[in-house]
Amino acid sequence: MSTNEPLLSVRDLTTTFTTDEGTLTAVDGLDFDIHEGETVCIVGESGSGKTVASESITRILSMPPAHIDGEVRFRGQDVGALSDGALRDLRGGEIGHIFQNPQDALNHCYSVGWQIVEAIQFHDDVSKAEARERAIELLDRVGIPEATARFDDYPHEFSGGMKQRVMIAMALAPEPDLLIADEPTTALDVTIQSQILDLLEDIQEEFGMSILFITHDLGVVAEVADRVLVMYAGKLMEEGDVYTIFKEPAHPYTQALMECLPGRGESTKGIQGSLPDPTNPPDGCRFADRCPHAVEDCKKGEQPTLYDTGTADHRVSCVYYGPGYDESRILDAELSTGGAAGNGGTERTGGMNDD
Amino acid sequence: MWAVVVTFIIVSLTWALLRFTPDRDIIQAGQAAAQAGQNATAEQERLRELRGLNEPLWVQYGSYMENVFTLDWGFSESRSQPVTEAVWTSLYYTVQYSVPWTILTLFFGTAAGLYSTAHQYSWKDNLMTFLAFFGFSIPNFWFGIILLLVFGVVLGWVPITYQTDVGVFTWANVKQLILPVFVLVTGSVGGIQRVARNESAEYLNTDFVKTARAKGANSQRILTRHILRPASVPMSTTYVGTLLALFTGSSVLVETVFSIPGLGRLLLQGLTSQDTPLVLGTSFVFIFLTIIGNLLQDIVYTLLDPRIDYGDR
Repeated sequence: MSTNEPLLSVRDLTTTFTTDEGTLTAVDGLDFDIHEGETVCIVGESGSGKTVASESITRILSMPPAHIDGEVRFRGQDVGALSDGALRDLRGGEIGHIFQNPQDALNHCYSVGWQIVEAIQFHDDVSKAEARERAIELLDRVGIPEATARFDDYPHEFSGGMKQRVMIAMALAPEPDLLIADEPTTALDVTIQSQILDLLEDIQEEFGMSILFITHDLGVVAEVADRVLVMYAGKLMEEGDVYTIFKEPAHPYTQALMECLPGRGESTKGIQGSLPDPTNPPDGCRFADRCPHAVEDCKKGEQPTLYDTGTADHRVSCVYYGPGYDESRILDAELSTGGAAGNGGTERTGGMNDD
Repeated sequence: MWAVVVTFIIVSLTWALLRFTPDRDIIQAGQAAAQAGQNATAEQERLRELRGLNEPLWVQYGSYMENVFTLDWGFSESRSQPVTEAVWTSLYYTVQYSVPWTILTLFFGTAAGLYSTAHQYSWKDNLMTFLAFFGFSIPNFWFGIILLLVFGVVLGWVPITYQTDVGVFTWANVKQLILPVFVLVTGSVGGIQRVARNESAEYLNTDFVKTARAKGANSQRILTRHILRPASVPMSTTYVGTLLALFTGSSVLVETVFSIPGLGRLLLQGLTSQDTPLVLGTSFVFIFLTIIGNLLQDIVYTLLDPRIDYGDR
């Protein structure tokens, strides 16, 4: 991880929507950094605000009108203060996007070539012929066979995986520094998933870009992430190195997520209960109602601040890590760890896999 | 191909309806004969024979169909000229105001709809909606009379009566067509605006529009390229229906108010003077227009949406 100034720095990002039921807070005070060349994963269940968070960065959120607060800095530049034109240059130019559902992400009325050329010409002043040539190169690069012939084909003539490759080609067109990939493999079947993940990895190496990867699939996280952010109900619950998160998940929510993985925990069990009402979030920790370790303090005041766990770059929003509590209490009870620094070195219980 | 079949069916139905409607002339002839002390039935028989109504049904049907498709639409008693000639002359005047009307309505209606979409739920959208409903609700004939009073009688800017002897592309013609076109556009642009707004708003939240935004497209390009194109498929369907319905209804009213000797007035004349061949002939034009409109729409679909392909049909 680079120690220089981060490529993207997000501070206190809060995105709210005005709905008939009241103000809906989808993302609530999110802080994170992405450094150059790094892959950061945002993990969380559906409705946790991870997609909204990713789309708040370049403000591409569509209806209903979103209200975005907080500070987003890209290469030190305040994104919120940019003019509309400069913001559009940033979108697609320096920050590329790929989305969850490749079936709908391409416009069915235009050929894929047209759509890639459009992306190129938004950001580079090149002729149609040059743009076409580059588009074909890109299609070839992302693994579309016979790219020249397929340039003029329409999206409905491509399979889901191929469409996602086209999306990647389009996002790569202006050579972005950051690629925001919002569940890019969720809608694809497993074999295609791994191909797309491999492709992203290759491309990241080749272009040297950073990736913000949104997913709810911990298997994917394990494969791609350098660093992991765990989100729940719009709040950041835990952040840390991918090894730390998998080895010593500190927050009860992260622990519960890990329990859901097949082969981990006693049996594959879900997390009881459901997400709190986003228009009227509860006091205290958002997860308290579903947390097996919740105490009185968990349901009072604000979401706990991010406490250091003692492991490098590992922070968690849980009272047990704050003053007056002993984090080993939840670690003992639920999983215990393999003896990492600061966690007391208790023995594993409960049949966890040892990796 | 299907358009031909549809035309055939409609024309046949018209024939069937007419054939089994009691013929006023024959009944009258019978009554007249009875009053004169003659044999009413014999007189009616004689008239039927004269009109070929004693032939077998299929012979009658055959000659009717032949006449329709060879443009032999009979003779108009009230106009003292062949029906095709009457239709042709009226069409000349109708086209002069309906072509600019259609173009202006499509252009302004779509533009206003997209503008509303871009500013959805803001005061701009509400203003557009207000104007749309205003134009939609105001009665065409009343609006026409008021405008004619203000601009024709009081201000004297436009002629009050329609001159048939001016050239199509002359200033005098433009001046006398401004009001009818304006009245028609205000009446129809609202409907088109509503359709354009609702259809395009449906595409506002689609993933591919988000992709376009993420690529760095500005809102104008998103509207005109990424939303208008896919939205125009459902839009064109409603456009054709709305415009044809308006065309049939409004042309009668507006031509009457502005004394334009067009198709609408011809139809009205045929109806009031009970001139059956004339009514039939005018109706055929409206029927053909409807069929051609729908055919065009099907062709436009394939141009707009590459996924639609009629194959060998």
